[in-house]
Amino acid sequence: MAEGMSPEELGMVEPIETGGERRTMQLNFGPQHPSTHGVFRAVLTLDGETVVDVDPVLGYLHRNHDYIYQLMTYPQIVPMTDRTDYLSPLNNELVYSMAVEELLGIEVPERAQYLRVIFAELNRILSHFLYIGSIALDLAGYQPFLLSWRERELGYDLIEKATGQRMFPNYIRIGGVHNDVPEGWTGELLEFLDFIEREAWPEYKTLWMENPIFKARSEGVGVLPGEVAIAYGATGPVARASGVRRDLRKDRPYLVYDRFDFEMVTGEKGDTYERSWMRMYEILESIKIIRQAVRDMPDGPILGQLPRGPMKAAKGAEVFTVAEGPRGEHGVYIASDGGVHPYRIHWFSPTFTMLQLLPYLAKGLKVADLIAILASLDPVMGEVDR
Amino acid sequence: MTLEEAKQAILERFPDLEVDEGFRGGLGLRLSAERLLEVGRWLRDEPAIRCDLFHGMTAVDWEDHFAVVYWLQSTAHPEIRLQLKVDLPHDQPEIESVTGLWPGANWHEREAWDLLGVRFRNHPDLRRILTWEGYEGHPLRRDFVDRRPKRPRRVRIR
Repeated sequence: MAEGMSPEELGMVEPIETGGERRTMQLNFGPQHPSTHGVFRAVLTLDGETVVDVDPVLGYLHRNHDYIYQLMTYPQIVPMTDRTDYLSPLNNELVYSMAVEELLGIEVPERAQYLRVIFAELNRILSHFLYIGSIALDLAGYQPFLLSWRERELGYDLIEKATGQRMFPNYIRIGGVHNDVPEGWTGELLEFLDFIEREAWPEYKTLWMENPIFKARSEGVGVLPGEVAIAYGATGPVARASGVRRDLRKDRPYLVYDRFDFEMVTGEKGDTYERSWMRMYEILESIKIIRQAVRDMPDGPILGQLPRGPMKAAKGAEVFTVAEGPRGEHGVYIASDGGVHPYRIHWFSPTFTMLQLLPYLAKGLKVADLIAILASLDPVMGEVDR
Repeated sequence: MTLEEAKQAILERFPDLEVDEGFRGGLGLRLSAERLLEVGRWLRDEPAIRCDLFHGMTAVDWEDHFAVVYWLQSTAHPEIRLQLKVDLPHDQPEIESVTGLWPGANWHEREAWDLLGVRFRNHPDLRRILTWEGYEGHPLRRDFVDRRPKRPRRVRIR
């Protein structure tokens, strides 16, 4: 800019005061934007750079999963559930299988339950690493994003070795798991956990979590009080960062979670910085759980007694099962009319519920803060739009 | 408080509520559309139950009627998990919105309107959410017919 000339003289900025009225402008944020975690769009009303209003627009990844499930039989749906929240496929398979088992009354053998815990927690670790990487990328930190892919590659290699697939493993089955882990796999898993605890985790801590730029951009940004979190139905790390003491693995233990010694991580302030720490500490707790599960895992069958013939539920039977996923409590509702296809399945996704908080959290802040808040809610649009 | 104690307490307060035996995974209750807000408010505010966590809702098209189901959980008593079920006539599925009790119900009700065509009275912003404005029909209804133009058929060349 030339010295001594005001922006108005250069014709760059229109005067903001127009007859005593503030002039706002509308901006489309997304859907094709790197920081929207897929294809999320929001219509922002801006006053300068301050967010006045946010109107989220969903549905760009809507495939009507609920309808596709109606056309399939119960076992066929398992691989489809991987495609909802594609960053935590094993947790999705787990909650769906648990729902069908509750509906049909199928017992799961103990070894399969331990294997399920191991894979669910392994997937939680990988998902949380991507969270740290993606919030770093959104706040212009490129290195942690690349590092997070290093850890995720190692974890995906482990999943591939045990299940044959990397992203969509289709491993947890109704009544148990598909196959036992190969010989020596648990040793490699423990090595991977040691690597995370000794090298990767401290690296993230010093490189990103204690980074003054990240702290300046996230501390005190998007403060969510606990009662608001509950009113909006927020669960998982987002609610726990606000001091809500609720973790289904502790409160209403499913599988064999009551046999393990781990802490429920909660915060106090409920800002973006705290929400990031929740994920960091949950990685450590998941490591603890996996170590105990590997130590205590009994021998035995991995698939329970399934009903003979095609799987059918009683007419009019319904079930709603919730489990603690990496992003919050996700659940499945199944209603049966007695046929081999479920009559109606509804997928309850935590991030769909929590995205409602975005207008509440972002109003009055800057556009850059909105991006930090959106990343801290950790939406996966495959699950939001289903 | 366990789920069994909660069931006793609820049935003591509302003796006319019907227990839904087909529901596995918690306590299922059937009620009429008029009583939804009254029962919901009590379930949310009663300290012994405190179903303050709205865990989603949806509707089921049973061809002769719609069943609207709500799932409630309690942060104070994690054992309590409820399903409220309201039957609505198929020709006019309309029910009071619960966004006043649980603000988190907002988008879930928009989704039920979008995909199943259940109307919610006094909803602050009842627009389509997963499909787009101007979309015709409600895709999860059993009698839904997709009226969008189909792909052109392959032309056979003689």
